Amino acid sequence: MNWTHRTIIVPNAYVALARSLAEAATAEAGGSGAGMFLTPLSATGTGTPSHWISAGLMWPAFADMLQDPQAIYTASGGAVALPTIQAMLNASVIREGADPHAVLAERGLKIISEQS
Amino acid sequence: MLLSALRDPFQPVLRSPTEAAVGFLVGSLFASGEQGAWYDPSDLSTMYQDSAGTTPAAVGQPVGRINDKSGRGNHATQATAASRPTLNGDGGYYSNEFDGVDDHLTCASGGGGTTGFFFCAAVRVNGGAGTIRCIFSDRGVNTGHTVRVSTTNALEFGAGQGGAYTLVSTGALPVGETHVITAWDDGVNLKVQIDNGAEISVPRPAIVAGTAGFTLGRENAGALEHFPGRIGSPIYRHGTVVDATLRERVKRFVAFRAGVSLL
Repeated sequence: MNWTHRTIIVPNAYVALARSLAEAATAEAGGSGAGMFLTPLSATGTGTPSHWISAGLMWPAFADMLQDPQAIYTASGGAVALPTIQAMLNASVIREGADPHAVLAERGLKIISEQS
Repeated sequence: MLLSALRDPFQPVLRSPTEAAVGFLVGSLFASGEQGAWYDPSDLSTMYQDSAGTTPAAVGQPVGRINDKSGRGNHATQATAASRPTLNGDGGYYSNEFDGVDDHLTCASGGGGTTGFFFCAAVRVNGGAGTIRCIFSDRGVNTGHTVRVSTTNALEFGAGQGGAYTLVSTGALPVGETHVITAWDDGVNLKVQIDNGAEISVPRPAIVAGTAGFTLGRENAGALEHFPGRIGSPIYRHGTVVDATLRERVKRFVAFRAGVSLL
């Protein structure tokens, strides 16, 4: 399979929606969009998350769909209104083939990591 | 590799060129039913791009499943496509490369030991200074074990006694270099070592069992402390203490697999 790399950052306000859409959109493929957007981000790397990130190799059809609100709407069975999906995509960052750490630096975000 | 080393009737049948070279069968670590896991990224027959184990792994491709060669059946998987490490084969030495963002592998069994913890792997840290980066964890809340890189790039080994965590750490792991790390509980102390460097010890606590399974490349309890770098040939066991002779043999095996010279 020709995997393609995506870095995707979603604002906290949309993360629950993003997680459920990713899972629903890949249900027929075995559900491997489930479990995305679990890594929290903030400007300081501490405190309450402002954003969430997923980054890695994905199959091309799924990766392309992530940038197509109509495709997401169709794949999710119309469960979420198209304008809402569009607003989520507009507020998110999606980069192809980028170093996720470079994207984080560019956006002024850091991974929240528990110090223990 | 001399064929005589493989066919000498007075020696045990040796399973691989590496095991022949170091004179040690990794499987012997688990011969008495000890719990743990042995993952071998150089054995492509044990690795798959998907968690179900249907598409064989290849260099540069994601790793969704790596089968356990210890015989305990503690296979490590990752069902989320974006969270899979990538198989790296630089210089002919194989490892799983984690992105430090969300990559990790999990196993639902094999964790929860309270005695004889032993972990050895060839590790290359790619970055992330200032953050804790977890290599192995079966940790719960102040329970279980963790092997990780500290905010100052030191190798740390911790064990929980229920109310707190006991940590022991070494000097810094150089970023961008591959080294053999060893962390173990010898029944008296928790110990860590980088290559053949100094063994650093602290008295062991009365360890409370962590979770039933464990995680590689991230903290076990949640999406935190992601490890940015390569993990090659991780070998993990708990139960009876791994003695010094056996420990050295495992280190030599891991070093040989990773092309690391133990000085």
